[in-house]
Amino acid sequence: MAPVETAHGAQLLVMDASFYMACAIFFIALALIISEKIHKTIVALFGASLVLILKILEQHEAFHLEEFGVDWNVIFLLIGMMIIINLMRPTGLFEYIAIRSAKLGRGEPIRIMIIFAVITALLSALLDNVTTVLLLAPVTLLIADALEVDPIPYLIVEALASNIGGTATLIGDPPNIMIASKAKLNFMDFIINLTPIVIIMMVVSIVIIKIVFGKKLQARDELKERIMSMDEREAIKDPVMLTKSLVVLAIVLVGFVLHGFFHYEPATVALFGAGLLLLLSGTHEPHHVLAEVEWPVIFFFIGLFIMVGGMVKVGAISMMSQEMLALTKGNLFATSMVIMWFSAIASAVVDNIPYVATMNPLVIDMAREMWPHLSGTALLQHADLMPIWWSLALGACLGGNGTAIGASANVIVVGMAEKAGHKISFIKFIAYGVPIMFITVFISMIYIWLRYYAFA
Amino acid sequence: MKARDVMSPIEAYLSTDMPICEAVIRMRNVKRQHGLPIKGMLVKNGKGEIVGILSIKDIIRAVIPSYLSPDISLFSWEHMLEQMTDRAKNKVVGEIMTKDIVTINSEAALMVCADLMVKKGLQRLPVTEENGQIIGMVYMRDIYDFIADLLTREEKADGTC
Repeated sequence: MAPVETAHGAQLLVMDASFYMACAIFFIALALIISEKIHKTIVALFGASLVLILKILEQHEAFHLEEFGVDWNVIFLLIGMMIIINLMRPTGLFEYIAIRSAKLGRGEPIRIMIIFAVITALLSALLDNVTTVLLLAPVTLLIADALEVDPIPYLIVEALASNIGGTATLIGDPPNIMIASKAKLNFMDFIINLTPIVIIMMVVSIVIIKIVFGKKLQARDELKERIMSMDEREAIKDPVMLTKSLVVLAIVLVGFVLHGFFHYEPATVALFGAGLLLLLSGTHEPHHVLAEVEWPVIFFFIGLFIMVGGMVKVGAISMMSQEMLALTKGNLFATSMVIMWFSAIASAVVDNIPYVATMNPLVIDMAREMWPHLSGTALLQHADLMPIWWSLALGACLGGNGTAIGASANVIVVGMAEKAGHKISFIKFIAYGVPIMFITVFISMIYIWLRYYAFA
Repeated sequence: MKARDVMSPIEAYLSTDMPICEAVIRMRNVKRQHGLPIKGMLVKNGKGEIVGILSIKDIIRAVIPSYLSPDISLFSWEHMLEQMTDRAKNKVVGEIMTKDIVTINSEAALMVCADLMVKKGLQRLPVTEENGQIIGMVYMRDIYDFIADLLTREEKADGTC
């Protein structure tokens, strides 16, 4: 049964069979996901179906209630952006950008590494991280071969940059998409609160790259010439479609900037962009564009939302939030620091998507405990709650840099490197990832303290 | 006609630990019936079990970096193929061979062979006994010759038919 409302409006937890079943399903699923014995999407969907079969959630709660069910805003934002990218990919834009960047670095290995890091961060802020590294890694491997340098540092730097860059915007990384949807935050909230610190992190990272690799990476002039003789214009396959894509992308970005003002959800903006670009593409066969949507990711989210919804309904999440508040004795600065560091470390070892899916209702529950008389955005965006949301976003996104399995972009990069004959060991990734994770989370910590507590 | 009626015997094998260059030499020296050149051979492991098949396509594939695609190979440079061939030199047959061998039962109709080879883009099809043992090889060329003979039954001296 659900928690019972007491006369004072406080929730009294009833630990009955549903409670234990919801927790068992969730934690067994989590363990299976971590073990990678069964594909995470299958685990999530089966777990979700159990939540429904066992009536922990009624189907209409799972499908239609914001509090317990699937967050369709997240789902359709992801689908919309995936369709736009699938239509853009064959135009050759990304290869063009990559080759152009390498030439901008005049074939100098260290310059190219820095420019690629910046481009990766920028693209990751606008597209999802996996797409960004999927598009850039092949060109990176090519350039490294042309310069006869080791591609591994380039690839790891790109994975790290994509996770840092993705932190900057609402659409950059799934944790941000989920947080935005739950907390009803808009695109500009992220730009104002997260982008500035992400820029600082990128600058610091570039200085570190320069110090670590500046002297090591060298290439002979004739090899640099290989880069300079590449003609990036050859990459553009379909200039007409490219123009259409860029126009739609611009509309979508303007839409994101203004969505809060016009009271549109981000998913509406993304779906409009996807629909418009599909229309403009003139395709009569939308099948392949739609088939390329990463359905396993989408269904992973759907399954996860339902499992977490079950945990919320039985009161397990509210129990955890009370523990959290007891731990920090209601001190909000301490709470945000605990959340940030815990998020970072958890996200380095566990997929940050289930983590944030669990933390979101927990944070909301905490807010209800603290301000029981408030509701709606007054509650969700309470001035004292905002730094907690940002700490969660920063911790969950940046923690992904810690290990090779911390973020999907890392997994992709390691996989592509291995296929190309360059094995990146778990330890090798950690050697780059952990220092960057600690430095960026440390910068975040200082930022949160300065901006929201010291000078609030 | 069945697979066993057109198959050729298999006289030589490659081994998994053989370096690429040795496989190339072996393939160059082995000939099948009528002195026809061989462009693909079965691979045995240390225990003498057949574990893969290596064709000239696998050798070319081993030289092409995995990250290339038609979009990206546009940006290759002069002598990149030489550079990559040099890099592939140390690979062994076991790394680059095709591990999933598509085989055909010796009793299968020639039509099945023809269909399988065309649909799956295969140049040669190992022929197996009921017990799974490979006893010969059907080559694309042999099926073609069989068809060509039928098509040219009414060939005239001036090259028309």
